[in-house]
Amino acid sequence: MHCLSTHQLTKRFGDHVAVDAVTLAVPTRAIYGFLGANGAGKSTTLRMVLGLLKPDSGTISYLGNDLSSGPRPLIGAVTDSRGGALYDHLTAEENLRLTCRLIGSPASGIAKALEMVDLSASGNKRVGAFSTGMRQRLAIARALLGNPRLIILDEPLNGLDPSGIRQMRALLRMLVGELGITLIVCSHLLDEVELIADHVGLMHEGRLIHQSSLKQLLKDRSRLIIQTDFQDRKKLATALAPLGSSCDIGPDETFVVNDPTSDGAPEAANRLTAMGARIFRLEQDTAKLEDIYHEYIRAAA
Amino acid sequence: MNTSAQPHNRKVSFGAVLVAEIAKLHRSLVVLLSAAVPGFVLAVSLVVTAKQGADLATLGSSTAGFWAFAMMPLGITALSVLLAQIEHGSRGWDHMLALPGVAERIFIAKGLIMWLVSGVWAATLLIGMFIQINLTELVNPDLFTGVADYSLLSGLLFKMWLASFLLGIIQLFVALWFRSFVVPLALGIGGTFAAIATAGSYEGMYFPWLMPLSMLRSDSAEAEFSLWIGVIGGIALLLLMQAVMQRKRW
Repeated sequence: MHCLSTHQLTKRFGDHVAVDAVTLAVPTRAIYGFLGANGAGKSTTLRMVLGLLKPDSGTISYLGNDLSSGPRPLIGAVTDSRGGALYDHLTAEENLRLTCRLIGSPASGIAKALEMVDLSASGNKRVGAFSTGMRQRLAIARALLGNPRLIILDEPLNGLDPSGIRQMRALLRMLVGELGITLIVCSHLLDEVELIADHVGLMHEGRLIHQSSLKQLLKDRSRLIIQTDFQDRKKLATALAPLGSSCDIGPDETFVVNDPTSDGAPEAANRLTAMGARIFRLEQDTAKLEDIYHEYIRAAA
Repeated sequence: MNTSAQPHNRKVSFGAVLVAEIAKLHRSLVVLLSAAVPGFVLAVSLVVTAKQGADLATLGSSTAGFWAFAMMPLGITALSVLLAQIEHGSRGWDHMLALPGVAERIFIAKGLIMWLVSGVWAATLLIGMFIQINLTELVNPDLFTGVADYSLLSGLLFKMWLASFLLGIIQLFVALWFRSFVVPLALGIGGTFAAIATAGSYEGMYFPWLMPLSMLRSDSAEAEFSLWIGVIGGIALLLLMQAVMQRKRW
């Protein structure tokens, strides 16, 4: 079962179609990287999921329940990347207590939430004195109150220093791994998304142009690049084709094995050596999410 | 932490939203404002009476007049800005309105907080006047003449507070609608100055910024009319504000 799914979700503002028949499928207990340029429709989609906007058409299903009927469930949200949407004049605990009151959750969960985000020692400090990283972690602690099964995070890594990014990455993985929470992470930091996401969805001009497992996406785009003195290309293709999904001739007379198997590189070396070929170059070209993202955007444009 | 797959479906009560709104005021500038607004009126009253003395019968109505004419509308203007900026400043609307059941209640809660805080100011002013008059009489028994009618003064301040409801909700509506504090501030200052210009007129009883002062009108029917317009208009606008604001895109 998907934690969250939408079907043909559409939102118009006047003549502008901000979200155009988006059908999302966010698996449970996973990090879903929701990517796209500014104005691509990510925020509008997620605002509809959070109940902040009403869809013009389409459905949203959360844990199998249609969100258009019945009471709205609690979905955690970290909506402001700059300051976590926290009250600076209150302490961390007071900020969390406010949310507990509003969602009818016992205040006993506050200490646990602060501990999870490593802010136990700062519970009595005013949020105005917090660093960006601390604010982001406190906003996550707040989103954890009431035990939501889904948390939506808008640019959680923005403005963090390298150690803050590392800490946040570990925290997000912990939420999924230990608590079984599903996370939707909107981010422009594609390298970071590549490190944390299990699935990705790419939005462009209101449309979802791709969604899949990130691992599969990267694997589909990886290649083995081989340069050899072996002249019989047909024989070469016959020997190396089983090591990937297809073979091509690349630039500079290179031979390319697309989507190679996990032991593709050493196996190719073995086979080439057995054929008596001299290997000038054998390179595993791992695809980057950033390149794939731009490739999809170019194709969609 | 519970890791069950059941979605959270608890219903939030209006009381919980109201208590949360009160909790937000803790350590905020609203606390300082609440001391400053009635405090300023008391300070002005002390300075004026300490030099030339006063008749206690008229001191109450003149202090209430200054309160209703200037400090109450200006204080409400500042209060509306502070209440709205607690949310605008933290960019907290999305988080707040995404919580189940909060959007349908929060704006009425904010309106009631606005009214309750201005009620606390009126009560503080009444208690402050009682203390100030008694302390002043202890120091200089000859300063005052006549007898203070606290029952009359409390009734007057209570009616002024009720009549200020419409003014308060207008200010809060504008302060919540615009992220910038400039618009509600300009409205409040402009409204107060316009009240000065229209203070003596018959039409003044229809003007929200003059409704609290209208409680001092010699024609009791006009005063009562202003009072009811202030209360009923305030309630109607509060409900409209809730309906409009919960649909606003932030």
